[in-house]
Amino acid sequence: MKKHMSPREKTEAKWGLLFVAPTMIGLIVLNFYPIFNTIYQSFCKTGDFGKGNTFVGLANYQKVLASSETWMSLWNTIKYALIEVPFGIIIALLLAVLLNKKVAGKSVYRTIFFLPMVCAPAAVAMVWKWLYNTQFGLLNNIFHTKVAWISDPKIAWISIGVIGVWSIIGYNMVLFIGGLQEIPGDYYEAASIDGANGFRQFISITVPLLSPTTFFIVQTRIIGALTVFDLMFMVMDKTNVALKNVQSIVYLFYQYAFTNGNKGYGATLVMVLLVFIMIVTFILQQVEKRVVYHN
Amino acid sequence: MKSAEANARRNKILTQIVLIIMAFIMLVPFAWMILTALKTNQESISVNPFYIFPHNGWHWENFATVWKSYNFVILYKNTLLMIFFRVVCACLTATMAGYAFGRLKFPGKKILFTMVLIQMMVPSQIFIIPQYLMVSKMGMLNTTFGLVWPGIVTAFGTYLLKTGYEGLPMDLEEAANIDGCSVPGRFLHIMMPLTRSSMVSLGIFTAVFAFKDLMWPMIVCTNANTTTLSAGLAKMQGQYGSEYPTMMAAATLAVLPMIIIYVIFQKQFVEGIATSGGKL
Amino acid sequence: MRDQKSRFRGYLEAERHKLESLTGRQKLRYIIDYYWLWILGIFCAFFIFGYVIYHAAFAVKDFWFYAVFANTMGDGGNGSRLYTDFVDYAGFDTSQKKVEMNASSWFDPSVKGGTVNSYYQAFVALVESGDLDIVVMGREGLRAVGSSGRLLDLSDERCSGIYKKYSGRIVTCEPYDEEYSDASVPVGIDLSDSRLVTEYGLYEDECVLGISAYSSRLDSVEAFLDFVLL
Repeated sequence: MKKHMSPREKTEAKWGLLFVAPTMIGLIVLNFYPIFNTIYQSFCKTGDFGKGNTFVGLANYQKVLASSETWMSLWNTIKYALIEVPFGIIIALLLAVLLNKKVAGKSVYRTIFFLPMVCAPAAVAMVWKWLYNTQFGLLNNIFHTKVAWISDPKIAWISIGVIGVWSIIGYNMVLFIGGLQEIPGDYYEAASIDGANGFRQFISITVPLLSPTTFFIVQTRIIGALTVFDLMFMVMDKTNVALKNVQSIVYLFYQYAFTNGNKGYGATLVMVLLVFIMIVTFILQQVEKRVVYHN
Repeated sequence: MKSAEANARRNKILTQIVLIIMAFIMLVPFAWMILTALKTNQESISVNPFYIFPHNGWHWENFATVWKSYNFVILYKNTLLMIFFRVVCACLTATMAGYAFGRLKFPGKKILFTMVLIQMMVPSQIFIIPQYLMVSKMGMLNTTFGLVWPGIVTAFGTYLLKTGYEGLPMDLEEAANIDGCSVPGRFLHIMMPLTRSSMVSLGIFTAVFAFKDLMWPMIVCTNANTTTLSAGLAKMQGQYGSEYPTMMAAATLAVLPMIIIYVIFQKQFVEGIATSGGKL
Repeated sequence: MRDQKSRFRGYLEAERHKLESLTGRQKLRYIIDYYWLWILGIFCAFFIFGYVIYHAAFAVKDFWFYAVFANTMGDGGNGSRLYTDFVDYAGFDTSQKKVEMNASSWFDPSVKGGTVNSYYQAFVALVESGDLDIVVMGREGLRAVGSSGRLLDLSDERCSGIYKKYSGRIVTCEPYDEEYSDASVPVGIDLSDSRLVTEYGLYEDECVLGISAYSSRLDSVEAFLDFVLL
């Protein structure tokens, strides 16, 4: 294949490989060595009390795939993603577009929306517990209801999803602002001269030109939401009956690998999750080719 | 003409209303954090939801207590050093890789990029033990290098900047190519300045993640003189587990440098490439 | 390749001409504007390489002994009285290898969900990397850690000396993994009357010591046991 390349393509290939080399070497050392280690472990039974691992082949996979717990937690994770990803993105996009215009106090707002990202997790947990408390909670006090926001299995996943949306808006917004700023300003000027109003400009300029950024956020947020770990435990007590209905698959992995010391089983769960996310990503990449605007 | 003006006015007010409501929602935990820091311990655990403000006086001395009991200067220094090196390393490696993935053709591109994506798909807990072993075997425990180590490359940043480079118009580079500009020349002088906004986003993200990372500093830096803010203050959380005012005062002090960093960073968002493109 | 080289030379030439035409201040400005990232990168690379080489050559890497004192309010960290007393007692030369005592760790695996915190994750990483030798904590917590198989089975022949010597203080646990053993496994040594409680005040009443399953320094562990039960 290399022989058919023109000299220009050759130099390009050389520079390309040179440019990705630092990142790829770093990723292989820091991340891929652990990942291969995990793959190997998924075929092993972990030796307890200082005894070595024993190779068991696909036994872990059989157990994981036959367990209803696995599918339950995978479904919980998907439900969480279905709330967090769309709402987190839409609200953040709205805010970013508003903040990209000439608005009074723009940088103050940007800083405020950034604050939840660095706020102490303990404070965030306390506030949400206070909001969701069945007896004293603000929500129930305002609406004069007695809803068990986080201990009713039917609605707990929604309440948890809301926290997820709230905590991700800042991240998405920073990315959207970055994307919006890279849209050439003269496009809007030209559109204004043509008499297009704000909404028309949004549809015909912002949406297509922002679509690569949007796709990036969709992709990374789907991955992020599917690997959500401890959000649930921020507000839910350990005795909560709804826990079973919200625990994510990464939490299940953590239970096995860290708490119970069954690393082989935990590694297998990671592999199942990895395959699932790869399928989703593959589908998304196909969608990208159709939907996303490339100039 | 008058109606258009009225329209614009109405839009402006509407925008402000939306922004104020959202700002309020976003501010609640932060305000809570500061208000709790000013309460007595008794008040802070009171169940009455409407005792938001301290009503037994404002206890500013909580901040002084925390400041005295911890060596904040060293913690700030360690944290800022870690953040600085992580941001520089991440921006550097990611912008190069992002440009190559977004703009150049080279063999193995698809496979390599899939590897970048896979890194994001696995729970980060599986990386800890091998990475700790590397740092331990290199004798880098309790050093800034040990803190920076897992952050020297970033899959997320590579993907982010790849998106940024892909979004730039094709003709920019084409013109330079005809002029005989080499690949690194094109990259440095034309393409990289145009993705400054993405780089700023990446810088902000790297800084926030480094700041929030609790477990890594906890494992590699066990000395009080080498650890970072989050890990150093977590020790306080263990000791004063139930003393919310002290904890929150510490957390407030810890967040301050991050806010300053963000304010500086976000000023760097450039206003569209129409202006920076003029440099060409 | 030749073409590439001459092109690069041409690029350098052009840059030199550009720089010559500028005054000193403009030169600086130009270089900072166009090469700031490279300058930073080179600076960083030098710093990091220097650091790595320096440490790889001179840093003390190995441990004599690594202990975690979990859930303690007392002072048992590096440089504390317990630390210096033990180093003196065991005769460790800390310029050769390190002694590490970590007293800032809080977790309780015996309660449901008590393992979902960073301290526990850090502890697991220390155990499984093989760096950790012992952990001291409350009885129930230690038994829960033991159930996960991360503590050494004291009836193992590797530590038969310790097992015989302190057979009156053994704490047992039931492993999660039933295939390992149906019966309880001895994993802890009760130190509730040791100097950790009476002299150094690390714990108020009870504390139990467990040995990491991957520890390779059992003689240091034995020295520590002898020291606290002196």
